[in-house]
Amino acid sequence: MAYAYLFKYIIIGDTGVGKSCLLLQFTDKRFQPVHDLTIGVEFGARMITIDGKQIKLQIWDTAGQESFRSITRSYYRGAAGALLVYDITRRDTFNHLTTWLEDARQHSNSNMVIMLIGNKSDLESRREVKKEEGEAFAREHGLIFMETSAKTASNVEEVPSPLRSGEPGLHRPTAPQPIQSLAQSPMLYKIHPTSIGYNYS
Amino acid sequence: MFSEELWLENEKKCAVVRKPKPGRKRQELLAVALGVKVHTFRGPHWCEYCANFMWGLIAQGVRCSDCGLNVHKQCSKHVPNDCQPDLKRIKKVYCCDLTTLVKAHNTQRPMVVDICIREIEARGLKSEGLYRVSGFTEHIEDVKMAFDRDGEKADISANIYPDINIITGALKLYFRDLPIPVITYDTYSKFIEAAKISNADERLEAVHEVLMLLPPAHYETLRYLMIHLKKVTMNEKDNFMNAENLGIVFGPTLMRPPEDSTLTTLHDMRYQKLIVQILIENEDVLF
Repeated sequence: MAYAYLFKYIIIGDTGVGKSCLLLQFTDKRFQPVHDLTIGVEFGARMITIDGKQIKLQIWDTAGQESFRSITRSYYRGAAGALLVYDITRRDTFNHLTTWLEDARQHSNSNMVIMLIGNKSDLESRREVKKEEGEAFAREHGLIFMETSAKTASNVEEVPSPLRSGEPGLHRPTAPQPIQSLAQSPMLYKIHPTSIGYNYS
Repeated sequence: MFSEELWLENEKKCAVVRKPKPGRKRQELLAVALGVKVHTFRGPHWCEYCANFMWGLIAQGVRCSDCGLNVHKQCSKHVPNDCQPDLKRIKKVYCCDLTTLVKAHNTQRPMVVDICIREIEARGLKSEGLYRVSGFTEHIEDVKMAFDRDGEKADISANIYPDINIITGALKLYFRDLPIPVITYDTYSKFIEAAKISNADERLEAVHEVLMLLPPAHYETLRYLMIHLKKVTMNEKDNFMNAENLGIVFGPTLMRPPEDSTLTTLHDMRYQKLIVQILIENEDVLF
């Protein structure tokens, strides 16, 4: 399928928070309750339409294991956005967010949009991290925040929403911008620079 | 979904001007292993190998940080690599060469490995995502410090660290911090080559042959770890960790390419996983 723009997104976060499950739900609209680990990095892609233009989201799903961190630096290169995921049922994954954030800020383009995602919102009974805490952390660090469930697909469709509009209530002025201005940013690969604005069938 | 082309394409597109980190030279690695460092001696000193005077005001020679032997830099090449490490001089447990540590403590294996595995087998074999789930980093650092400070007396019991993932994290960190990985730089490529063999029997035979090339302390550590990991897989019903999953966790933990390049790492990842998976599954035959 033809597309006007390609965005690279990466998913980061501790092991077992559901990064691969989020990707599968987002790209394939299904959930697999398996315990497979990710080796290094895996890729997924999905087309979305913004302002009548076809956008391809290329998503890099990274391994959370510490031993794979040596190649982490390369993940961030050229990424337009990062989904920083934690598990609302495991406090430790929330406590590690600062480390991940430092890592992301250090290795990425400063324009990279970072979204904080509290996953496994279906497991309300086992919740260890309050929604307010996630919101507070996001506010403090200028991130977009949402809670999702890769299992029930709750909120998963909303993940690319910051691309659609400048999110109101966002505290970081350089973060998500309307698609027009993103087009000028260096982190975006123009695939068909001449054909932007045409309708693809 | 894994695609090498995609990766390469990305590397090309974002031609960031960054010099690739040059791989460490063998000599340098050897120096790390032997713990020989250039040293400035105060007052006159004589080489303990050739007995001649060590000239100069600074950096007159080298000193072995394991046993404290003082020699000329040139002479250090002739000193046999079999010093008996002096326990007084070995300050740390983590980041210390495996063979050196084992010799210094006069044990078969690094005591960190024994102590952590004992603790994990006592209370963690059924824990979901054992070795996969990470414990809180600061607590893992605490365990590391406790081992560095108290050695065998380090207390890692459930009273202090109730979360078993802290202990697994500390053990994984020990392996990652080794100056020479358990699967040594020298044997690394031989293992990778063995993993590429498609015939399962031949592959197993090849892996067995390379195993024999490992230094005794490394071999023993690996053998002990694999027996333990086999026990972990026998509890798969509860902990969901099969040999393949453990292979993904331990592949890059136990083996690292001598040339530190992202692309090599990425390329070899599947084979690293496969090697550890084979070692676990065939632990009884191989060791």
